[in-house]
Amino acid sequence: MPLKLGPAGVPLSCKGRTIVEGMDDITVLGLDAMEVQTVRTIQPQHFDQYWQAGILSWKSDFEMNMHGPYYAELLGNKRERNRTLSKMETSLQAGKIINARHLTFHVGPYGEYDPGHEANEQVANVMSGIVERVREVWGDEEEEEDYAAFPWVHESEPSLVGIETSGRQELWGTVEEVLEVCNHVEGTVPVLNMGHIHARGHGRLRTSEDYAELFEKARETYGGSTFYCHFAGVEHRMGNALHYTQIKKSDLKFEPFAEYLAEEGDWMDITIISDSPLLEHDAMYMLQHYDKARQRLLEIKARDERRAKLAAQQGIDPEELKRREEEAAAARKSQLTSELEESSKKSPAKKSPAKKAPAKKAPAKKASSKGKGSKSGGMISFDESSDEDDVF
Amino acid sequence: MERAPVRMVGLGRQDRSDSASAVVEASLEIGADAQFIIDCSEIREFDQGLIDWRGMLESKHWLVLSSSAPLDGDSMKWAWGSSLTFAELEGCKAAMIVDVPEDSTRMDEAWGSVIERIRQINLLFIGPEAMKALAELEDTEPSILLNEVRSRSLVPIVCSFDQSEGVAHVSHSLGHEIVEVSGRMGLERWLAGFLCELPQSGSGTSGIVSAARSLSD
Repeated sequence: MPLKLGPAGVPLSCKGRTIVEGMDDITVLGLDAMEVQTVRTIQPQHFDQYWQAGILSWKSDFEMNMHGPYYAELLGNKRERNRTLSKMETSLQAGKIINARHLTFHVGPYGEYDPGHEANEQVANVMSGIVERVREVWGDEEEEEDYAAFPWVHESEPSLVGIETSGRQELWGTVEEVLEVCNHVEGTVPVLNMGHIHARGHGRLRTSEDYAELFEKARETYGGSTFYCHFAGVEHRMGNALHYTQIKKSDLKFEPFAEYLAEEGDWMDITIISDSPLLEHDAMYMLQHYDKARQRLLEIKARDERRAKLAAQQGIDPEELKRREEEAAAARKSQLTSELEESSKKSPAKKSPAKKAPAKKAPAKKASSKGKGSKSGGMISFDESSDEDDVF
Repeated sequence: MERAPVRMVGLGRQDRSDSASAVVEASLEIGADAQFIIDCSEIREFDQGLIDWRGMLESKHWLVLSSSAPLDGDSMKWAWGSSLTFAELEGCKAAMIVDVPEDSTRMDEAWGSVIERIRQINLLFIGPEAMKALAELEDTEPSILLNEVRSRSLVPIVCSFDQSEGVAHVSHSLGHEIVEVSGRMGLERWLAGFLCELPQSGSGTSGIVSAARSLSD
């Protein structure tokens, strides 16, 4: 399964602040994607930087993506819509220069529309116009000479237009709405912002089955296998995202998603962008969990294969062998338990203090190890410890 | 029972001529346990690599910074970015003061730096002058800027203080409060009071209102 992971922006730990320097750092970390934020007007001086990044991504296997304006009003009045479209035009021009595979856009508030078919139709109309414009920008043969330094403009496919799910009830962008529009407009791709989906669904993404349900729905409605996701921790209330947090501080966990991807994600071509406050740290955290999930799966597969071979050698059914192995394991376990019970009966007086001692020591150990960590300073670690001094 | 003082650190210039330093100094005056990350005695280009970020930010309530700091050279730019990341890791909330830089044509650059780090910011204070400049940059009206910035960025608290009218505007995840503050005070003093009270009063609506009024006569 092609999976690409990366941060939304130049890594926090990057010494320089240019996109190319950020790409170098991302590659060193073993990640392979990046989303450039165009949250404010793009100045002409940025274009040189974008072109260098485009060249680097074209020559390597690095996936560049671009996020359009953070705030959009595509369902607003004419003035609001045009203002948004002019910002989007800048983003898609920049997307061409940077060799962006995906251009991500928000739709914004429902405005004068009620949620439903009419609003979706309006979004679909606007988005098909944007897709058309992207194709115009990318495929203008008259400009071929001008774009000799931009080989991707003619040799690769134009950027896909990503439509992002929203994290608040008053904004257009439920999963269903996004999938419906993507299904109707060729050249678009759903941008599944897991934090937003989780918040809007009152904390719905908890198990790998929840992710399976989400992607199954996407497969049925949208039909494609290309997905672009955002992942970050989120604080939410009443179906609205309140604040983005690092993954560890949120009730949205990455482990179930990693499990789903490792077990059932073979059919997908997926890019996951970390937009948490700890950009690349959380991207690395996601990569580690994905690798762990895959490793676990491989171990299970290897055990099953070994069992099948052994069963064939012994001339019995693999299921029968599995049953015998389980029986043997259970017998070993009960033997161990009875041995432990016997030894504890022999020395009953020592039992209670022995049990209590580690429980008393545990917090002290934790405190001392934290102290050491703080003294050493500088190193960023993924401590499991929770916030002891959360002011709110 | 006497309550423990609020602990905060500020990342300001050595000459203390910036708004973050002013807020830290005002906080010290009202009894906060406040300190500066960069000492007055340090030379112009300090080495941000030598700062013990964890030691500095561990168990602090607030990290106070200003938006114009990243324009003060590479070391400050680096320290500014590192402080936000380590604050996030240490559970210290970041309060960012958006001000107009000395070279006002660089407002766009300063605001761009804030936007890049917006998810690490827990409280955004926009001064009245910066409000006008930002509204222009964001192509919106100053009157709706606070709410727009909050809804776009999901920063938990976005606030401002109009010292001529003595009114504080606070946009937060549960709504928008307009709080009249009696007694004349400057921006820095109001913000210092707000920061010192907020950890005690909580971030619910009543807590925010009470913190915004904390230094009223």
